[in-house]
Amino acid sequence: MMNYFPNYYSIEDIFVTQEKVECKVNTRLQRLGFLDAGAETEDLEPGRTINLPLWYIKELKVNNAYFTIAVPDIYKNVHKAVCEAETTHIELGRLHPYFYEFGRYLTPYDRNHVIGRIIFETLRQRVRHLLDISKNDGDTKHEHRLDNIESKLHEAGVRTNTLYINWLQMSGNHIRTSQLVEEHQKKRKRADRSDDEGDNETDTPTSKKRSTM
Amino acid sequence: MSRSNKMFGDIAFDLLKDLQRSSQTIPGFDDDGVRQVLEEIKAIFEENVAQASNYNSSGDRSLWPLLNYRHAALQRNKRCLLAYLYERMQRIKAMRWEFGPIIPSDIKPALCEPEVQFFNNYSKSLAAYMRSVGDGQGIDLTGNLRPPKSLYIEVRCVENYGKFELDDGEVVHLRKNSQHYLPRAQVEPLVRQGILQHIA
Amino acid sequence: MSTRESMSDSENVEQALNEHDMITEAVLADAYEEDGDDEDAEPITAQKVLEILETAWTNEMCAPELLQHQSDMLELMMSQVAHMEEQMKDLDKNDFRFVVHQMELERIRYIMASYLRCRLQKIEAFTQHIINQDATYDVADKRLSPEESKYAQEFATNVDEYFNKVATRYMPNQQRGEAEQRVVAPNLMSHVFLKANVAVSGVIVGVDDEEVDLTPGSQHIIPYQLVSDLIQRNQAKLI
Repeated sequence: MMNYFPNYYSIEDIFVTQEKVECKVNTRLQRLGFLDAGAETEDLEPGRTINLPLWYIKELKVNNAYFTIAVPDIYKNVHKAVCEAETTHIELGRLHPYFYEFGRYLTPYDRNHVIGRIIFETLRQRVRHLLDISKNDGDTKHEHRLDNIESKLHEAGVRTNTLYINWLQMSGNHIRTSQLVEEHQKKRKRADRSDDEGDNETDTPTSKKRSTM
Repeated sequence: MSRSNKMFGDIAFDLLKDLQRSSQTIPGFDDDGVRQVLEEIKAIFEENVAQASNYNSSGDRSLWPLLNYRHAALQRNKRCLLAYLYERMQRIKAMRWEFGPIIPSDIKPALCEPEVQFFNNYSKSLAAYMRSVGDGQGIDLTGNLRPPKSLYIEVRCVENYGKFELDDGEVVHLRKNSQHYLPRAQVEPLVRQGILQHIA
Repeated sequence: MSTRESMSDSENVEQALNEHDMITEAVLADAYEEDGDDEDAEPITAQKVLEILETAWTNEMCAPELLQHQSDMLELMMSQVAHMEEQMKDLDKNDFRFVVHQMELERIRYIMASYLRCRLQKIEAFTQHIINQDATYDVADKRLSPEESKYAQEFATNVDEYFNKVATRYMPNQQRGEAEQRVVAPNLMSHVFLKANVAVSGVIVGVDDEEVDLTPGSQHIIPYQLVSDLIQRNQAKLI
């Protein structure tokens, strides 16, 4: 079931909050010089521009006296496309793997209130498109075109579609080797093969069929 | 804290990144990484305690931003570390459902001792629960995984398994590549374990 | 995690019990009365028990949170299955009826197993949240069955022990609120598909207290939290 709802242990959310954000230093900050890669000073000097991880930024008050958070260029850059309703052509995943989530975290720090509108509009425009490609190209990988949430939606769409087709063809009912076991065996087989090259892959299906009914 | 380019929290984040990237069922427990993260947590904590008491006595607020930053870093470290354990726990749980109550011998070295213990407790607890359902009538939840469509299924043996006794006492010899027509409910576990393959 | 379940066809299980010459209603009625203290316990048919379980199953699969347990119904169904198995021993294995009944049993077993698995997944995901919540409920309203409650406690202890041995005991003193921060809770505002069983008037469907009347059989997409009480009272079901 598709339901993105980050909790304390959610790895995706930890990945999003690992992202860096550009900030301007407003006031001298004692002994925080180590945050400025380009300076050797012990203190962090006002006027410097540094990159801070989102996990720290989100603990700061919106109107904190220390840093001013800059809206990342990626959001400014899609602004034009959003206005022209052309966002389906954007390779969003290349712009940022967590385009929406990252933007959502930054929304409160954006004094001009553009990020919120941009991510909302972008998703609204692209959702239709996502639905279409989920139906049409099950296997094609759209590596850089989709952001993380979008690829999840896409996967869910493809999966639902496959289930639906399987159901139509009544073929979805095979018991399968569990996925874990399967991966595990592949590994073991590889190991076996390097031990004794050869004879364990003789796959001659005997057609001897015994009914035990 | 090493004075390299590593920032606070980076080692802890790497734990998770490596775990996510690994294609193995479960990669080896990163003893070293975990220890480093715990050391970083302790170091940050001790520095903060020392400076906080200083701040309390003098009332000098100038180190407040530093304390703040380090506090966030400490929380970040904890979160990454616990998420690492939590994700491993999910995979260990999945093993109980997929492989049964015994950890495959080639996976076992990847677990640390507390994880083996977790697995065993989990396994025992689950088994006890399954036995207790319905006022002690019991039900096997690791079977009955798919809605049944037919009672008998055709299977092919993937490996030599030997004798297999059906509920009614009949014995079948499961030899590699032989095919059989068997009651679905009874052979499902063997298919899940990859000993049989469901062909029709 | 969700690979364990395949959301499934709610195949015509009804039919399973319809033509049931083997189900002896008396057995069920007995079992029911033995169990309940309430004097006016009506005898319940096997068919009805299965219907209740089926609804509980689909509701459970669709609801983000753990719903109330159904251990009475489950227990009845399990004895019924055992009873049917017993009777089937006398039937010839090649008898058509044998095959039909065997199929029915397999299907019922699947529903019960799938239902309980789904509950275990939620219990494992939201352990502490569910335990805390259940502690505030009266005995009759508990979400966890006694067996599940034991399982939840054991699971919580087991996870704590693992975390403690590997990490938390080496960590500096925890602050207030930190434990709460780690409690994983379901997203009750996630959208669900709903079908009204009966007419319900004045259901609040939006943040601005917008109200809607549901007609029987009507279907809706709505945040779960706004209709969770309808599910509880069986006025609607999730689909």
